[in-house]
Amino acid sequence: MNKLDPVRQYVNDLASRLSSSNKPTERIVCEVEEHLRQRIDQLQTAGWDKPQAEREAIARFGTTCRIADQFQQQPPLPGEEFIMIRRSLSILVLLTSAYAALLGIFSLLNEPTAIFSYVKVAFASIVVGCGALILHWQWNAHQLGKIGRWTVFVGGLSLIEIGTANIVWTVHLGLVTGDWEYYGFVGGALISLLGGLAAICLTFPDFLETKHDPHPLA
Amino acid sequence: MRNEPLKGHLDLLVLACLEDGPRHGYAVIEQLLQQSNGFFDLPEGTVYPVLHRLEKARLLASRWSDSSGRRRRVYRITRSGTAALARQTSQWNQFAQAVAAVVRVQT
Repeated sequence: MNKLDPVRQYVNDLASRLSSSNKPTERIVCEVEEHLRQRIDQLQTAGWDKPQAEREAIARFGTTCRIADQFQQQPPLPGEEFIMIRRSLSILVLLTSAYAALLGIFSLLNEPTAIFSYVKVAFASIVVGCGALILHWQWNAHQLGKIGRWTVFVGGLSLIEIGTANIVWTVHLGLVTGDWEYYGFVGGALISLLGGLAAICLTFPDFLETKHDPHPLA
Repeated sequence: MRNEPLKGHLDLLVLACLEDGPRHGYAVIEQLLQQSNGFFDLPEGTVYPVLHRLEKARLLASRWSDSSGRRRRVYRITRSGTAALARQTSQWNQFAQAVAAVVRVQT
């Protein structure tokens, strides 16, 4: 590597300015260097000599100070934070649904004839169904008319009720039988948390706005 | 160099440049310059922060490409990006028509 190569000097300077930020410095530097090399080739093809072409390419690109500032100061697009919330909600839905489904299947396999197993399966089905409703509503903007906000809101409240009932029932069983089934607390807490988060999200106009218009540009 | 009028519109312009197909940053700048008949002769480095920001917002996606012996980051518009572009283009058309109508009356 030639230490006097102005392109290398430029990208090294840019890298040092970006290194204090959390930006993907290596990728940016690769892109910038490739851009400069391509511009230099194009200028040389147009008749410029190499030193002139290098100076011109760098001048056209802008100062490292300015480019680094633009990378570091770019404001988030409106609604970006809601993308993160939607992702978290989706992960919670998948986790809760999987947990509920496993409990339902486990009960059915262990005590296939017990009425209580059918009750557990029925509740697990409701949890999975509400989860599917929330997921569908979240990620299918064009389907919004078919599943309205209030349907999803009711689904969220249902999950809170089921989750709370699960916790209360587990406490009751623990007090009566002395057998504390901790998975009941975990499941109930997960279900309630999911329902609460879904219901709270729907009360924020900004969340609804980003649902309709997930990436409004400034 | 005419940077001032670009403020607030560069996101839209970059998305529009990628509407026809995937491009790397260099090609985006070239297209901006050519399609505007040289009007948008902005510092070339300006476009990269925009590309990264739009990708972070999932309006663009990117991957490395090694075609023609060069390692380039190629960007393509996503479904969300296409929707945002359509919306913003519509708003821009309304705005431009309204301004043109008022300016015409006053002159």
